[in-house]
Amino acid sequence: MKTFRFRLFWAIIASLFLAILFVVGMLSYKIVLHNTAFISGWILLVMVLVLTLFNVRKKLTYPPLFKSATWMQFHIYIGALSVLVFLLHTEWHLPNGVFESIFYCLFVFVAGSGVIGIYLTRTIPRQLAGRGGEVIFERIPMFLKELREQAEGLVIDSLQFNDSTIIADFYNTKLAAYMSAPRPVSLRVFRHDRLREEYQAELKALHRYLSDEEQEVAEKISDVLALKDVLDFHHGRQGLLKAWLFVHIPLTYAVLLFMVVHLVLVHAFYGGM
Amino acid sequence: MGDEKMTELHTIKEVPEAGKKKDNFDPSMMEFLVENRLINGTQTMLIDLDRCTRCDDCLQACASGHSNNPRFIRHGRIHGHYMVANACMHCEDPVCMIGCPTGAIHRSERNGEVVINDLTCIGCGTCAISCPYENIRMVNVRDQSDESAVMVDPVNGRPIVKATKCDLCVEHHGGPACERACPHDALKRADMNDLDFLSDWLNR
Amino acid sequence: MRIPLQELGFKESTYERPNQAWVCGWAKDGDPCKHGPDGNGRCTAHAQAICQPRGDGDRWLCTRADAFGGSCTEGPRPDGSCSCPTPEHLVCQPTRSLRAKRGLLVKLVAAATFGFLVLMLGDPWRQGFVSPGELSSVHLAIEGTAGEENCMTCHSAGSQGPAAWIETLLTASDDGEDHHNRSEQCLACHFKDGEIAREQAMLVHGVASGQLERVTLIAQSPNPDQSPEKPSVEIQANVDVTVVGASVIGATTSQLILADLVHGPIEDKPEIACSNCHQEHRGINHDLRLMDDVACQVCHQQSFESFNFGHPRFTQVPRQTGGISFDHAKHEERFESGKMNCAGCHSLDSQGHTMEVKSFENACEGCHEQRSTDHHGDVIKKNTLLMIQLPEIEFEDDAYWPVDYAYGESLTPMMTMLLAGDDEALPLLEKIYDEDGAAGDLYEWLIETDDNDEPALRVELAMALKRLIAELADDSKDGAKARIDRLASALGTTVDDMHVQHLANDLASANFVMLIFKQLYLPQVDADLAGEDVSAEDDDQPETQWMTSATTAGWRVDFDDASVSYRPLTHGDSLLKDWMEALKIHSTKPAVDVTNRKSEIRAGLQKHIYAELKSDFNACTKCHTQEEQTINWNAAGRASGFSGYTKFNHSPHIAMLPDQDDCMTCHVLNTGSANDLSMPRGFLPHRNERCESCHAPGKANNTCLNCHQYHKLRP
Repeated sequence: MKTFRFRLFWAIIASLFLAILFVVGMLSYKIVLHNTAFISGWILLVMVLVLTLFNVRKKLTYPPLFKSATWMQFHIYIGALSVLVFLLHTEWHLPNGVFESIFYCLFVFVAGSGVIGIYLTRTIPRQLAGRGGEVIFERIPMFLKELREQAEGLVIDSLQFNDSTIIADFYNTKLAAYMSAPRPVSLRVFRHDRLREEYQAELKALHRYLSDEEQEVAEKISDVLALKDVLDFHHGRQGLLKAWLFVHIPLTYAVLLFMVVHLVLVHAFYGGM
Repeated sequence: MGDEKMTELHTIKEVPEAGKKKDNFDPSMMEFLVENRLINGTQTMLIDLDRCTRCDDCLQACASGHSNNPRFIRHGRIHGHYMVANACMHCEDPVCMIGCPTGAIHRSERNGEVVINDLTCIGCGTCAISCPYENIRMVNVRDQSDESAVMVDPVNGRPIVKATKCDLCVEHHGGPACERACPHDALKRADMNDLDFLSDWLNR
Repeated sequence: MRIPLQELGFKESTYERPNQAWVCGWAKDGDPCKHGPDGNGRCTAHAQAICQPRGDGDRWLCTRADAFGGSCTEGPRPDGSCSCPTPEHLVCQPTRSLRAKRGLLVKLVAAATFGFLVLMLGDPWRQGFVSPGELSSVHLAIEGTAGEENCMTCHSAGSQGPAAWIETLLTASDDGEDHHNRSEQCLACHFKDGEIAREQAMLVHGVASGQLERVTLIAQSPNPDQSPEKPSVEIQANVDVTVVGASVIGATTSQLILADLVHGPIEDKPEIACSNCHQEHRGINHDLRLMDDVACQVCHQQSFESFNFGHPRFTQVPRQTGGISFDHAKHEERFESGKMNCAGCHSLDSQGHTMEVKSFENACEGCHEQRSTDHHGDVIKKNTLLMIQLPEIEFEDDAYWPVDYAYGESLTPMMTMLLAGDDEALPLLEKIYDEDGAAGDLYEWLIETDDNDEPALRVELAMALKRLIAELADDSKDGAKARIDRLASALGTTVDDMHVQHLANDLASANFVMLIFKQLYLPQVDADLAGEDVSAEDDDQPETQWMTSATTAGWRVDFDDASVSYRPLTHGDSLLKDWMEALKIHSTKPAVDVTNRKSEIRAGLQKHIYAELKSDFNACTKCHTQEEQTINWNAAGRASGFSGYTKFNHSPHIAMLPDQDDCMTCHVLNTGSANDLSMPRGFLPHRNERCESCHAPGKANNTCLNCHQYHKLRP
């Protein structure tokens, strides 16, 4: 079986070869005063269409047209090459006009989100697997509710001892909000949210005020907090894995529409040979 | 002599031929497989959690091949960063086939896949209970309309329940759709008896 | 760590349908119903949480779905209606699954983009939206282009809408007729006589390819003007553009090796549109004239790295030939100081670009004084041209001819030329100049007529001559017209021809002298021409001896040999100048109407005349060089250089000289003893090193366009 490294190596070689071929070709045509923008433009158009077809392939299980993984590899490398073709097509200049600037930005966002997507898809799964606690994303609210009920049950348990409300107060003032929902989006970007550690430390600090039975309950609540943290982690990271596509895919269609208009414009306003 | 035999049975198989790669997945993985009796499977669904982006493309593909009813769930026993998902493993020795009152669950003639005949399944649940890996699910069948309403038995007014499980996409060409649909090479239907292949895959 | 929450059993872990578009609204609270919404996004709690009671004989059975609790304990009412509690708390507002949300977003973004584009491509915003950038400052000034108001000044598509553009995309092709239209707009302004010829504007360098081949050949030969034979290249009369030879692509640098891979437009389509090199819409400060050095080297046979590495040596710079032939090295000896005073003869033009030669009066006359004074002076040169002299002819019968005063031994060139304008004299001239017969020798011909017993021919010749004299002496309008007609016929051109007009003017200045001549030697010629019978014996002897001074300039009658001769008046004498030009052009004209026998004869005669006068004209051509069809009366500036593709601006370089007058810094005299003919100006070729000392990487500009220009715009 071919290892990933083998595949990576040869894919990079092939891409480099194509890239050099393309650059050499473009340079040759440019020197002899051909309008290379037309050639590179058409190549770019074909590449973008092929890249877009990946989404179509994902929806079509039958007929069996190559594995989705194969398509993915082509998508990644053709995507990378398309950035090169794009830069050559725009001749390394930023555009000046309104239409072209918007188009440029759209392409940059699509390609950029693609690059970010590659990074995310290759780093986040490892983090998730390492953290443990595999959950299905759509079921996280369910588990959250279960944990919340667990915690609340434990808090109620604690009340039966000595009529002390230390744990209950602590829960109401701090933990209730924490347990009610996943952590906010702004904190998802960072790996480590220290709040859980804080709460656990505070719980630990409470121990001096608690009886032995209450301490046991506090320990269990601490465990629940740890589980909640795992849930939050999964919620954040898996959410990110789904969210980047919300940028990449819709903007692709915007790019396609702009591409069609650009095609028409360029041919209508062409000024030379 | 007896000890030697015992040793043979209980140690990891060494690959005898020179030049061939030794199987080198760690003993704890073998321990995990044996302990959970997963070595029974000929088409065990392994998901590499280091590569799986939880995109559910595999489920989408399975669903599109089965009238929008996926035949597995993306959870299961985990060891390290590998998950053995709750999808029918098409065991060498399928326990589920024992006890089916109608014979709806059977081996297909094509390649021996374990398949449930929807039309003759009465939804008794014996197979689901028998399966030691919880890979068979009892499902309220829905129709194909836009509403996808639950189909109801006109006799007793109760929803029709059927046992569903992975059938390796026997009705289609191309083999299991899940494996073909994963964009990151994370999902594999592996034969637990072929340890060379398994170790290769685990060490990609 | 495993979350013990996730149970794997089929009873605990419900069936998951990730492909469904709608999910139960309670899912986000963690409590989704076990059934879920239907495919249209409607909550099914109502339908499913209550039952359809089933009748079984007398009993009614509850059929509530297990998902909602299974059969209720109370069962249906006796009348068969369901008594399940209304499941209001179970009813949810279904939400879309994440995937469905994404699909919706895609549709939304696509629709928004479409709407945005339709809006922006509509009328008020279209031009501003579509414009790819600001025009450069030079074009912004054109009325109608500022502020992206009017794309159609240059783009025909600018006045059309999207529908028309789509049509263009589907129908028009990139080559063929279209490209002319696109560059046509540029030419609407950038087309001036002499600047860029309109029909040739799309060609390489704006000239016909034959022209380029010629220039190439000239540039390649070491002595283009000195070579005895000019390169035999036909200048194509039509504008048919063929490939610029095989001299398309050569490669020395790595970049040019690439060009080898591709057949550029020069080979496939020998025309280049303006926009191939001049790219607009790059912003206000973009210089439209900038081009990369490599682009030039695509076509030029001699390709090289840069100006400093491999540029051809300046063998032909400065131009050594053409214009006024003046050997600077030899002339240096004549200066008293021993050093040339460049500023004495050269001055910068008004723009400071080129060095012009001062006029003859300012530069040369100091030594080469050509002005003739009156008959007292001695400075008059001795060049005198014999113009009219009656040849010595013997007649059998009496003809009116001044036998005692006809000393001519041959027809003078002027007489031959003027006679050639006379249709009746033409056959005579043909015979006289017949190669197999007299070959121009009048004496021979006279003998021939004798031998052939053709006395009548001699009479005819005399008549022709008398007609000529009469016309030359006629100072009326008829005479002038007659002379013009004669000259036009002689030169084989029309009466409107410039040279005819000039020569006629010059001959008119001879009227007075010719009158005297006529009076002296053929006083009765008018009567004779009218047909009367006159005799020379009746003529009076010429008496007056005035106007015989050998130092008289201009037309004069020479009594010693009964001739009319001409001495040039000043430098730039108009008769000689016009005559030389006329002969030069009309004797070297390649196109001859071979069907017309007369013009063939005339053309032959012109050649004879020219050959005869050549040595006389040497007085002029000693300094004034000749081209194929012209004589260079003026000094050759760089503007008249053989290619026009090089430019050089003198003033900044002069400003950098240590001593403003130190032209010798670059223009080095060739004072070697072996001053060979290849250096007629007397200067050594410029040394590349002189230029490279400043025009090098890191110093002054050393790009191709710094010194060369694609369009012949300025010297």
